Parts: sequence; C-alpha cells; structure tokens
Amino acid sequence: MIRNLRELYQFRELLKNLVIKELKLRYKRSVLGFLWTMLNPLMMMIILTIVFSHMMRFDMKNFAIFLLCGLLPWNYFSHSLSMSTMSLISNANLINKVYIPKAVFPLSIIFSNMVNMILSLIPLFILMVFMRIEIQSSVMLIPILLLNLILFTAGISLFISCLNVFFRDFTHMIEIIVTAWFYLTPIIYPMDMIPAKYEMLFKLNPLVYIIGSFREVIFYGRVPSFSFMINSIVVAFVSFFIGYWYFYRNEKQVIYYI
Amino acid sequence: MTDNLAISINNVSVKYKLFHERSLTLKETAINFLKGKRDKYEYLWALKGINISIKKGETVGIIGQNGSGKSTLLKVIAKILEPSEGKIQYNGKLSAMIELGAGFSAELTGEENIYLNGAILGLSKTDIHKKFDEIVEFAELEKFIDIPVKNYSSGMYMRLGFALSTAVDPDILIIDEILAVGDESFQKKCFKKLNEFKQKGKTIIIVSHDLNSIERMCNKAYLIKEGKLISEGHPKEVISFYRNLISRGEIEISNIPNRLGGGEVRIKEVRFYNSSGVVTDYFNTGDTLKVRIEYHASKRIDKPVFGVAIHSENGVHINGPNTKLSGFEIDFIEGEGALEYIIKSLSLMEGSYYFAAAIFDYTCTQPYDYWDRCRHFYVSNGSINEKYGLFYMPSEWRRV
Repeated sequence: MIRNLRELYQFRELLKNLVIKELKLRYKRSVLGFLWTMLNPLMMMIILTIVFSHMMRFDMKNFAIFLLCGLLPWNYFSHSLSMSTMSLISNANLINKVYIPKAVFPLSIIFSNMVNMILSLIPLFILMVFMRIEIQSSVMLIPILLLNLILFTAGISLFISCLNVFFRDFTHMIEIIVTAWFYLTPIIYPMDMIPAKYEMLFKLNPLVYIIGSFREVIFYGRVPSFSFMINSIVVAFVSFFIGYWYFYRNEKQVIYYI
Repeated sequence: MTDNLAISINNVSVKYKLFHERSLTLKETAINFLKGKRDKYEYLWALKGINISIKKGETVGIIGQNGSGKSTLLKVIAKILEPSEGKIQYNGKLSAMIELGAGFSAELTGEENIYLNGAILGLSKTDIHKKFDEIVEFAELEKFIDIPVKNYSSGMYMRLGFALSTAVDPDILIIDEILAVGDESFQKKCFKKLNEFKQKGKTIIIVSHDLNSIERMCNKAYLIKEGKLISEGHPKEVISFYRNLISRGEIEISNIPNRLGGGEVRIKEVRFYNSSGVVTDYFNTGDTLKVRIEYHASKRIDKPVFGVAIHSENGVHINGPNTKLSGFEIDFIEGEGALEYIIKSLSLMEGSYYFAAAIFDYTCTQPYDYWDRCRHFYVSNGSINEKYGLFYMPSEWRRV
C-alpha cells in the first residue's frame, strides 16, 4: 500500500495536468470563466435567502451567511461524489491503453473541485465584509478544515468510483444517498434545532464534524471544541484509509470489468 | 536477471473469468445472494506459461492469429494487465503505443494535449518543455498546435500520438499494430524513427499482422497460438512456419473477429483457389484467383446478395463488387451451398491483402453474415518487373 502511494506520488505531474484539464474544460467557452465559481454560490444564496427569510420566515440574523458556510463545503462534497462515480468508467479507453495508477482519475476530480471550493470562499468573505460581520481569527483554522474535507471526500470518492465499475447501478443509488445525507446534516438548519433525543444519532454522522466545523469558524467565529476537532480529523483519516484500501485491493480487477 | 536482458518474462499466465451468468448490478447481486444463486463462470487462459527473454537492443515481433493472446501478452508487458501467474522483470524505462493518441482530450489544443499526454506517459514538465519543439516538428503541426485536436485530421492526430510516444525516449518501446495505419509518408517516417531507435541500441517489441514489416524490422520473432508460445527464432523461419500452419489449416480462424449480421445465413468458409484448383493463399500478379464462399441457410432466403471486398494492408479499399451490382441475381438459397467469385487476372502488386465476404438482403442494408477482412492473401510479383503502387495494368511503351 505504501509502495502504491509512492507510485502515485511519481505520477503527481499527471495528476496536476488532469486537474488543469478539468478546470480548463469546465470554463472553456464561457465568457465569465472562473467568475462562475464565485457567482454560483452568490446566486444560490440570494435565492435561498429570499425563500427562507421572506417566505418560510426563518428567524435568524444573517441567515444567508449561515447557509453559505454549510452549503459551500456540502457542494464540494456532493459534486465530487457524483463526478467521481463515473471517473473510472469514462476513462476506460485510457485505462485499457496506458499504464497509469488508476487513483489519479477520482483524485483529479477531488483536487479540481477544491480549487473551485477555495475560489468560492472569496465571495463569501466579501459578503461578510459587506454585511458588516466581523471575521474572527478562528478562520485561520480553515486550511485544516479543508484538508479534512479533502481526505473525507477522497476516501468516499475512491470507494464509489471503484465500486461503480463492478456494479453499474450504483450511480443511481448514490444520488438517493446524497439527497438523504443533505437533509440529515445540519446545513440548512442549525445544529441546536435538533431535538435532544436525536442528538446522539446526529453525532454519528461524520459530516456533522466535517461540514459543521466550517460554520463554527466562519459564521460563529469560534474555535470548535477540542473533541469536535479531533472527531473531524479522525473521521477524515478513517474515511480516506478505508476508501484507499478498498481501491488499492480492487484496482487490478478493474480492467477486466471496465 | 542478467544485465544484458531488457525484459525477462518468467512463466507468465493470464486467466480471464468468462461469465455465463453474472449479476451486473448491486440489486441483482443482492437478490441472487438471497436466492443462493452465485455467478457462473469458468476460467479462460488467455496466456499459459510464457517464457521469453528479450535482450537489450533487440527488435522482436510477436505474431499470431486474432484471439491467439498476442495482444494480451503485449498488455501484460506494458503493465496494463497484471499476470495471474508468473512475473516480468524490466531493465529500463518502458513506453507503450497500444493506440496512438489514446489520451487526447478533444477540446484541448495540441499544445495542451502534449503536456497532458506527456504526463500520462510519465514525462515531467521540464522534459516535455525541452522536447516540445521536437515533438511539434516531427508531427508537422507547427501551424496547428494551438487549435483543439478535435479539428485535427486523422493523420495529424496519429502523427502527434507517435511523436509523443517516441519523445518519452524509452529504453523499451512497445508497439501494437499501429504501423498498419496512416498514409505512406507517415509510415515511412515511423519506420525511420524506429530505425533510429534501433541504432541507439533500444529494445523494440512489435505486435503486428503485417508479416512483411515484422520480417523487415525484427531480428527475432515469436509465434503465439492459443495462449502458448509455439515457435521462436529468426523472423523468416517463424513466419514461414506460421504461413505453413495456416495453409495446412492447422491455425483456423474459428472466431471471426469482425463478424456482423443476423445469422439466418452463415458463411461457413472462405477459401482461395489458384487456376489449377488448389487451395492456397499465395498468388502471382496476373494469376487467376478463385474465391469459394460456402454457406448454410437455416431457412429459405429470397434474393440474397453476396458481396466481397479487398482491402490493402493499410486499409485502402480496393474493390467491392456484389452479385446485385454485377447483375447476377440469385432467386433464393436454402440449406448448404457455395458460390464462387473469380478474378480472371489479378492486377494487384506485391503485398498482402485483406478479403471480406458478406451476404446481404436484397436492399443491401441488412447483413445476414459479414466477415469483415477475415482472410488474407498474398501476392508476389512473379514475372512482373514493376514495383511501385498497388496495381499492375498490362500496358506497353511506344515511341512516336
């Protein structure tokens, strides 16, 4: 497994090139180019603010920022998942013709989406300044949170990209799972709205830590408790290692099924 | 492994699972699991106990029929497939050309693709940077390097693919069939580049149907049949052994690779006969060539159309007559039968040619059976002294 990781490191140039390709293809022939990454969350936020604070009368100050802090990492997670499900299958031609460590395909999606995620944080901070919300020093933790998010998402992406080669109907299942996961995670609602009797159950949801921490440091401006941080780091590493281990064990079979 | 070897293949076998019943989806798997039904499969050995040692600086050719396992062997050597048993050791850097331009992304420009595919082949950015001009020059794409490759002609596409694979500057180069594509000037360029490689003492492994280029290029050949290595040695000897097997019918093309059609009529066999009625695949320019197509119609078929076609080794479509176009109408066929197509005087020049045979319905749109390029025949010049081009046209010179 270590040798495999080292080999992956040797192909970092390819990984970099694939990430560049993903980004280039996404913005090719669009006039606004990379601006879309920043405009998208803004548009979404405007819509959500109107719906939630004017129609559903959700009584909370700066609800838009609150929402965006959860939605941005969530979008990263869900887009990466749905894109990486097909990542091996859509590169079947290449896998059949050239020897490459196959993990580069889901990983290139993880990294190119991360570029977008980081870019979309910019309009969030601009908005906060605009709405006179003080940005606390707790935001210094963001790099760690992003790393957790990458590791967690990469683990699941590696797992499902490989699984989808063996069971092609997994694409459909993942859509259902992702939708359910969205509502089961405090993204459009705050953590303290969860009834006390379900609190224990919610604490089993790893995304509570991975995504919840973003809201803690950006919106509430506080450093999450030690145990909260440890949970989120542990969850991220466990996910990555399980996903990577499964991928590594089954990678060699992929070529016979693709 | 000793130092003078480039590749040592030790007792390598590859087995595939051949599924008779397989659950393709999670849902099916779950249901079948509950029902206690398991996937049904058997193992198919694509390669069995292959031992090959290739010395540094050698150019070797691997030949065999379609389905013999030669492409599997190449994929194992190129590390695309993991051998089920045995192991392969390497001395030096490897580059494989299984398909030219396999990794090209249509929307990206030539330049962007050079960087992307260079990385796929394991080159670093500085490596590619250094070789960029050389690649562009070889591919003759100076003017087109900044347009998306989807706008490239197939020739440009292949030139770029070839230029990239050789730019890796590998110690061991693996080539699959790709020399059979492209126009003549491209082929000449490739051969020139390969010769340069040979002179630099690099190791080249070629898989090809084109026995002539194997004979010309290689100093050793291996013949694979049904996953086993059955002959190795000097290309001339191995190739003549191979041709012998084919003419004796010991290598049968039982699985026609490019077979299409509904199957109401099956072509059973296609054979070539010379003017004295002997089965052969070898002819001289000017000879009579008789093709006999044996078929079996499982039910009465009205107004079938039989068609044939000849292609040159590099894919040029030479002719394609059929019974309808020739005004040779067939009322119906039923059961066993045979049809002959006779070329009175073969005007093809020296080379090897593909032969295709098909039976269509009267509209010529639905094939009952279609063997695309399933047979080869070889033409020698015989008493003709011309040597250029595809055709010999009986002619004379006159001074006036």
